[in-house]
Amino acid sequence: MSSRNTLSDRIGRFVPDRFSSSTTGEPGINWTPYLYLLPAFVLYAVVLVYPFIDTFILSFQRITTLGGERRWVGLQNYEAILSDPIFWRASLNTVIFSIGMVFVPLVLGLGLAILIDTGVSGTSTFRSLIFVPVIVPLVVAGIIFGWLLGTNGLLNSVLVGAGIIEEPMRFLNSTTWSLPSVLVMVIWKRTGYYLVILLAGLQGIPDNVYEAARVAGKSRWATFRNITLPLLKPAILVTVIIGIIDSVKAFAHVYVMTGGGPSHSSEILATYFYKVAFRFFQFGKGAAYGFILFAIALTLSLLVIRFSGGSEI
Amino acid sequence: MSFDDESDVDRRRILKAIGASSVLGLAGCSGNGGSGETEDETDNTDGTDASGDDEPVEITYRDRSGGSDPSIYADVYNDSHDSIEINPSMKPVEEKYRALIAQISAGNSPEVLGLDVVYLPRFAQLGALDTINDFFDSREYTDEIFQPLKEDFINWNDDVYAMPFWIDLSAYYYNKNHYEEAGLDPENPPETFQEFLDACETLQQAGYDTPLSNTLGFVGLESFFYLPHVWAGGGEFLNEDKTECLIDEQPAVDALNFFLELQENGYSTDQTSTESFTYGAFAAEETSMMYGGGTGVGAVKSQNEELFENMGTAMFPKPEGGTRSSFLGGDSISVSSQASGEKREAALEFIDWVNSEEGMKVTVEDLGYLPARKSGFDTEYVKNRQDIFGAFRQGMEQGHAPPMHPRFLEMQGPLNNAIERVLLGNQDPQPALTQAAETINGVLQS
Repeated sequence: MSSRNTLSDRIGRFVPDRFSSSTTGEPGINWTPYLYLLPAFVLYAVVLVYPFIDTFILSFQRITTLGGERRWVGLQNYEAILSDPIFWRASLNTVIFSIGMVFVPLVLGLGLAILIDTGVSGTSTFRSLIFVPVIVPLVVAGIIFGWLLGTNGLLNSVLVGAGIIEEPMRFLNSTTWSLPSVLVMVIWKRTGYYLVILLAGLQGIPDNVYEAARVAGKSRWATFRNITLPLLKPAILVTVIIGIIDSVKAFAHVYVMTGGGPSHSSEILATYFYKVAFRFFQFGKGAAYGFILFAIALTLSLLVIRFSGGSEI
Repeated sequence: MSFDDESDVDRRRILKAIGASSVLGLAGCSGNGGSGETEDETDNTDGTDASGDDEPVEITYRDRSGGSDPSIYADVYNDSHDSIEINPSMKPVEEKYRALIAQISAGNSPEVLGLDVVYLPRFAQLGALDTINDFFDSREYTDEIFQPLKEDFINWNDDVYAMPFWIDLSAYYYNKNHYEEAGLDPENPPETFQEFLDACETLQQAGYDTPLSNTLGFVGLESFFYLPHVWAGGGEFLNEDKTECLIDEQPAVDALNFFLELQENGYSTDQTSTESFTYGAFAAEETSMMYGGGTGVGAVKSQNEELFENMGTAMFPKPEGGTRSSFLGGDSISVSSQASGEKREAALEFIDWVNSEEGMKVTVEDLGYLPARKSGFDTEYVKNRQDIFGAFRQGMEQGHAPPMHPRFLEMQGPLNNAIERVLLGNQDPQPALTQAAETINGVLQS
């Protein structure tokens, strides 16, 4: 390896090599740093690396007894999942769910962040109110929205009372409305979360940049498009990546409100994964399912980082 | 940008993405493992012997919490026995089986397992349960165990893996006052599909707008409430060899049409609902009838003592010419395959006791469930309320245990979905059940 590739050459200054004994002037490797790292490494290996590898192997096996007997089945588990129409239904629902969970709160959060950032009066109270849903536990929020949207719930009472509808609507146990109903709760809960991240990003933009735009006679829209958005890109990227990962592993949102039903109309990948692994006790198939979810999250994260045009988050 | 630099950036991107995605990959593993570990700490199931001759043999009994609390079996047993001590370990239904799997996999299984009967074949298949053929044959009282419980409830692959424990069967409850006010005979509740629909119409015309509380929305309730109507018409869920699903045959279609009529005429609460169970509306006398299980007795008693004194139960209606049926659910009780020596003997002794007169009294009077033996119905408590227990006893004679198949849990979903599609008006009964049968056949063949 050429010296051009060394860390000290690249950053143009001397960096002591702590992992060799050159600083002490004695020949051989200095093991002390490795010793310090060992507990963390062992912990990492036990709680992350080993389960990861074992689960990956399990995805090609079928558990025959809980005593540890397994049978090698090759790609059967993956084939079974990919040929399962419910998997594809859940995948489509997850895409819809992700769009609703990531982009709707992002747009709403950005709009509200800009509003708050303008410094209009009452924004601190408003900001607190918007943030309240974030601290409400997810399961509690699911139960509350279940009550609100139930056939005997508040929303139906209002709609019927106002004469807008004659009969109570099925929001949660409807093949059409079940997923949108869950998304209403999700958007309510996440908008405040995104708002905080985006507001921090907005407040990090120096005032003199806006001053310069004003002097140059730029319109509000041009300022937003050419200054605010580009400078806010790291914050937006963070919210999108967090949102995508959260949406792929989202579980309680749907499970509490609809259980994935009726007739899988609100089934998402994580709820079906749970059913396969922990309700049907198909552990090999469940492991394969977990790795498919992992691959989806990995791919989406890579795509977002690539299309964002940079790696600085 | 040089090639080296670009690949460096790509590596960083990939590592970032892997890091982020690992959070997802491990989410399921850590959650499950955690609950198992916590459970392990609380249970005394380390396999060590109780020290000293005078020390009781300690064993752990696992069952589900929520609603009735089966830990009372352990309390009553421990009060009257010195040589064996039962440590009850109750878990909510959702968590019970996950935690149990983790414990069994770690070689740390509770000795006595109360298992929902639909889970029994899967746990037997996974080698978690010990066969108890000799124990079953040696018990004299097995002659008086209700026949459907002996045939299916405890067997898998021609071996006995459990004893019947507490039974929860499905039936309907009715409000005698409402019946009288509507001009119906409270001593002769409807027996056929048509009579039941007519009674609903009569009650509706008498001002009881929604005569029936029922829900099929939760997965599992389609088996509990719908399948007895199929069996009543001579239908079956699976063929005898359990290699083919028969749920698309005429008795099943007729049964689904019956539920569809209830839905379309507004005779029932929304049967697709997953909002809550049905006891509340019946206990509040907002509805006149209720589809329920044995737990309904205790639920009504605790919520409306007056109604409890004025209600009756009946087996589900049947099609003309059929035989009324019921779903025999509840728990069976097994010995872990990891129990050995004196702990296994202690487990069997406890299992024997729960089916004794004293154990069955706990089942009926404390838990509100039903006993597996006929003599369990010969108590003062039961005799005083024949209007409630009469139908339950008949149900024990004529009912069906669920199909004992390790993948029955997977088969419930397609059937539940089919019923929901029909009741929501998205599909007709025959094509919906045909679709369900095809999916279930796929499960059977995979």
